[in-house]
Amino acid sequence: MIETKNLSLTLGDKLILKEMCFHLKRGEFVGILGPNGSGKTSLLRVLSGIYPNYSGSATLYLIPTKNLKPKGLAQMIAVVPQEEHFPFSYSALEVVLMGRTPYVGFAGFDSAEDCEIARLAMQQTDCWSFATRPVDTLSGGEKQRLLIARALAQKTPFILLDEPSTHLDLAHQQSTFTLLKRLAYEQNMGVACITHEINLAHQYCDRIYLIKEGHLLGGDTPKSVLTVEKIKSVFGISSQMVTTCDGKAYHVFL
Amino acid sequence: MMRKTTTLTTKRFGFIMGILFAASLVTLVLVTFFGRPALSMNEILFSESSWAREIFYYVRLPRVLLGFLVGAALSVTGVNFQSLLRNPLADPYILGVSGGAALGGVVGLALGLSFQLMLGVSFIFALLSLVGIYWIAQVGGRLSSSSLLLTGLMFNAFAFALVLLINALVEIGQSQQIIYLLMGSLEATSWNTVLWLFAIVFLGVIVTTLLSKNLNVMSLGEEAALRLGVNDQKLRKIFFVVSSLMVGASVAVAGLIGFVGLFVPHVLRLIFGPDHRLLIPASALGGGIFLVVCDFIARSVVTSGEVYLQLPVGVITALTGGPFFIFLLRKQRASIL
Repeated sequence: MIETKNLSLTLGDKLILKEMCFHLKRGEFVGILGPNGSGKTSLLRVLSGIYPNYSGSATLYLIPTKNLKPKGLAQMIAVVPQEEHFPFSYSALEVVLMGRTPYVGFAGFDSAEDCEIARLAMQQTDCWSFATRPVDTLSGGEKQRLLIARALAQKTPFILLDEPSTHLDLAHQQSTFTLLKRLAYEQNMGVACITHEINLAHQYCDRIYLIKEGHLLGGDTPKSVLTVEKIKSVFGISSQMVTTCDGKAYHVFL
Repeated sequence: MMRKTTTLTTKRFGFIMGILFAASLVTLVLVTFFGRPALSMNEILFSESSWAREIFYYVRLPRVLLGFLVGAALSVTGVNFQSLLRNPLADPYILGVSGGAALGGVVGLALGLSFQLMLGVSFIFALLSLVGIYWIAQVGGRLSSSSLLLTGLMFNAFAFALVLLINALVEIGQSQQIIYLLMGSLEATSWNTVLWLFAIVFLGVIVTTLLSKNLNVMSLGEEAALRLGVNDQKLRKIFFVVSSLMVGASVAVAGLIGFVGLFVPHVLRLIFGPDHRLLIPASALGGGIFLVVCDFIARSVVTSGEVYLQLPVGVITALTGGPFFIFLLRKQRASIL
């Protein structure tokens, strides 16, 4: 499991993360919510080894993540960034095959197994239909699904996603959250997802963390974390809970 | 352009490289025997001690081989820079790395250093230019495309000014050599220079090819590379040193030849796609073919009366590469700058 204890991070002279205690087990789907600039992405960057100069501890099965080589870490934790800039027109399939980088041999060619894994990952995220298209012709939503496919091709036990649903239409938002839940339940992966979709997080996630100005709060079930009072204190907006006739609770923002 | 297959299997790689190898051999044979002055195969192979044989062994063959090596070095370096700096317009000439290397070469000439020492000085100047440009162009931790090109422009102007300054101070014989260095030319080469260049370019191309799989993810940025398990900082240093070695050696031997590193990789990307595992070795062969053909044109096309004029090869590459650069800039301005 991934675990941080009293994790603090300073960038420049600004304290970004303050004494965070976070954990993610295999088989669970965790949502991370918070306003812009609260430190969500920084937390993901520490967990994926990009910011090594933190204090406190960040461990993967009790091994400090800074002690792991990039290759080893990339075989354990896959990260879906908010967006990525492609300077050359790689095809969609080529981008997903880059997810196999931590595994390729010395020569570095794509094996039949790599291609099969890439194909399955692209089918899971509804990308296979545009596999041969150059990545610079894809829409924002298609690119986001492609980045998820690439992370799946890494075949890791943990996957961390940074706002994977911002550019997605409603149907793909739902199918993405359904996929993430299935990854946790059927493939026993540990899934953590930064999102602004409070209602989707409430319905799909097992646990919810809230981040406010570098402080990590919550970590419990959606029902106990996403209360009207906490949403008001973290996001500064008023909301109400509405229950539909099938018994599901929704947040309505006023 | 839609490519049919986009996965790089051993079979596809072998097939394409096989074709390029064959094309390289055919081109080398053609430009060796059909350039001006014309050399007949009969004279070279079967007649004893003819002038044709002398020209073949001591002028034509080293010149053609040198052209192939320099073309390979500049193209592979172009691909390296484009990927590492995440900028399709990067090229050793445009970024001022060649200019830095030329300054090193001129310093070596002015000091009367031996050929090997001059190679060394050129390499160090190329590396310093590259690191300097990379460092200056990083605004607030990220590499900005426009500041990269502007820094290269400045570096070129600066290096050029220093070269002209040195040129004014040295005696006339050295001045002649400096002018040749600035024009870019594959003339006046010995077997010794060819062998040295072969050793450096061969090493550079092999190292780059073996590490080429990493260039794909490194072209997405340092963070993306790290997320996909590639130690960007460590590899970046290796690529910088190897690229500087190849540019330094090429410039010290053949002077400033522009746009090869821009033209060849882009044409190959259009044909084979941007996968660096194929693009790097293909650029080595494609760049070699391109430069020997340019040199063939340079020595065989322009006549003055009955005499064929020997143009510097840099003239031909700039005449083709210059308009091509503008075309690329125009096509990609929206997304790049």
